[in-house]
Amino acid sequence: MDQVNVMWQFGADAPRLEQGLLARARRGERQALEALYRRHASGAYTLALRITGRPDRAEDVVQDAFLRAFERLHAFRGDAPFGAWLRRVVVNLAIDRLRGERRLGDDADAIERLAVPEPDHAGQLDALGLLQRLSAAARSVLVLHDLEGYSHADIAAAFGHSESWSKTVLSRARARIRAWQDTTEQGDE
Amino acid sequence: MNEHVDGTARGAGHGLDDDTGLAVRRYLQGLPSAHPPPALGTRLLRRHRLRRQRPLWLAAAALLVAALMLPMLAGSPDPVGMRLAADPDMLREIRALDRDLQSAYQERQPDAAVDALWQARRAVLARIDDPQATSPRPVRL
Repeated sequence: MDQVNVMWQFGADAPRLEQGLLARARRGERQALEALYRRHASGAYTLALRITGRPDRAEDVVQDAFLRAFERLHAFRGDAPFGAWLRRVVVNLAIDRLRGERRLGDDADAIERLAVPEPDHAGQLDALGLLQRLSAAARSVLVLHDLEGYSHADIAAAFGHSESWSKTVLSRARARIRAWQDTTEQGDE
Repeated sequence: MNEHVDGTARGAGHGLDDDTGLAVRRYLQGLPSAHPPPALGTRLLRRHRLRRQRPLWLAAAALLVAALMLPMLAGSPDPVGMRLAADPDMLREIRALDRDLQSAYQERQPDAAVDALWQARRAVLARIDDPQATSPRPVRL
């Protein structure tokens, strides 16, 4: 999870600064809440977008995640960075949303089915890259494992599948991305 | 776990030992970040503020409802007063007795005379619950 910590820290004073912000936010200070949002909005939104694959859904997830986090600030003990805690909330909400929309499909769909690319009017999907071609389940497993540092046990628990399922989906998703990369590179030459 | 799931991947779950995994991870880490619409922050902070205020409003509303429902929960709202108001004769009697009582106190009349007036007043009110009851005529002093 090192890359997560690096991503969410802003210099050597970041933890102390964030603790101060959190203390003020717990008292309901609007400026502190705004500052927390500004610090973490982009990371949370990028993560939500990469799991849901849709900007509108990502927006909903980020809003719900921040609202939940702000309401439970008094319960946040600070054992982990606020950003890491928030990302967990984002992941859970995004997976819940995929499950609610029945976009995770069954086991066979997880990798064989390709996503229908969304029209990208605002360049939002640049953050998805080739991920947008994968099914929701394959994309989520790949993002959680390779970017968020989740173990296969974590992913299996989050999706209600076995670790073996997670490993298989990850392997095939990587293979697809790699093949598409090769195709793209050959096309560029 | 070394399952070979297709011709490209050498194994699942091997992390950075896998060339494909390493290349894909590098690719993913190189993707740009996305930014939420500017209005999202304003919207969610407003919603957070409203949610924080909701318990206060709910508490105020609960108090108001409780105040309105208390008479109903305690029984019918002031049945004596309502039934007295519905009987003009009885109301006149009560008012007359109240005036007599006021005069009796102002004139420092004996306790027995004041007690008789109070007894007459209670008897009139008792007729509200039992219309057949006879009421002793108030003692005029």
